Amino acid sequence: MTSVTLPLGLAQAFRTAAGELGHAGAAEVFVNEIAADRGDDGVAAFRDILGRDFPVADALAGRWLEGWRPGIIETDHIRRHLDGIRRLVVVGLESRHLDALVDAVPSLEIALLAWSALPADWDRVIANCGGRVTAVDLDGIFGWAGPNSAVLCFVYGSADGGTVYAPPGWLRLHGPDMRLQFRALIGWNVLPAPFAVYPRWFHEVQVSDFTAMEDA
Amino acid sequence: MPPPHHHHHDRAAASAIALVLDADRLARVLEPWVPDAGERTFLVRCIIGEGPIHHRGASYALIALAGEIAARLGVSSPPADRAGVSVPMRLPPHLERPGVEPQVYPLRLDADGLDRLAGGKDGIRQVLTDALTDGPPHHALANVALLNLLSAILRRVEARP
Repeated sequence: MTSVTLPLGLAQAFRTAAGELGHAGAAEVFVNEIAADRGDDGVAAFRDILGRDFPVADALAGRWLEGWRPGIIETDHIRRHLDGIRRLVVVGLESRHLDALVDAVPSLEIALLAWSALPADWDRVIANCGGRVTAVDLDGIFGWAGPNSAVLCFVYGSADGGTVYAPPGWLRLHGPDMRLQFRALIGWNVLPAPFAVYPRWFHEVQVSDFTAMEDA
Repeated sequence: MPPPHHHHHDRAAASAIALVLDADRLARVLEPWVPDAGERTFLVRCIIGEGPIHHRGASYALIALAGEIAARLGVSSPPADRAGVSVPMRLPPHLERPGVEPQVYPLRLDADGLDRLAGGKDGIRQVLTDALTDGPPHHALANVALLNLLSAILRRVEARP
């Protein structure tokens, strides 16, 4: 435990942010701000308070304390899997990564599965995407299927054991009826590192469920 | 005395079946019908990368052997003027809308071969086309790949002096 105190309501604020920015995106914002104000002790306190409840934030804060810093989001390796793809359904939410992809591939039509375990104001989430992203529900995804369509899912965790952690939206969507209606099923691992705590909110899935897997 | 129990054969492990599936070989067989590499990769996944493992193995064996026959007969590519029948992506029934055409897979059915089965029966081509292209995608697409090869082989055989 550290002696640094952080504002009351931190967990509630983080929960809201994680719902609309993504677990990693929200953790970056919080860790950046806390580090600027309270230094590494503040980041360690953040981890103590929130880590067990928000495993991505825990891992990200841990990496921060080891010297890692968020950088520019690279998209070239993802774009390589989008050759011939006109429409993309995104599952899970990491707003910084989604923004980077929106900017990197202007011709791509993008839909976001507006469903997650954390509550989110999806109108607000979509409004942040500059008119480039459409919200879809689980049925609506089939309207985006086709031979030139792909699904991209944000995933987390070390893939060394042949598995990664995916948001529950992937489990709802990922089935034999959907798999063969999309040319590619791309995993974008935004936190390719082992979890130190139980990764609640996410579910262990096989890397081989995806046709391509790329680290952030 | 009870009859001896005869095993038809030992059940092959799923992993053993998966090991003999040669995606590159299947891609080469499909190439004349699917020139785009990305579409070919998609179709190879549909046929031997998804669905029950026994289907994957069976589809691979049938298509690869038909491909072998086609290669030995010098069947290289389908005639360019054959439009073929599209293979629809089936929507869940509750999402089907009248008048809305489904998306289709990047492999069309060359149904020419079916006419050889008609024997004076009208409509056989249409009926069997429906049977071949219905069902789960891995099934329908394996049917179509095989029938395309058989139609091409038949044309080649019939063109011989």
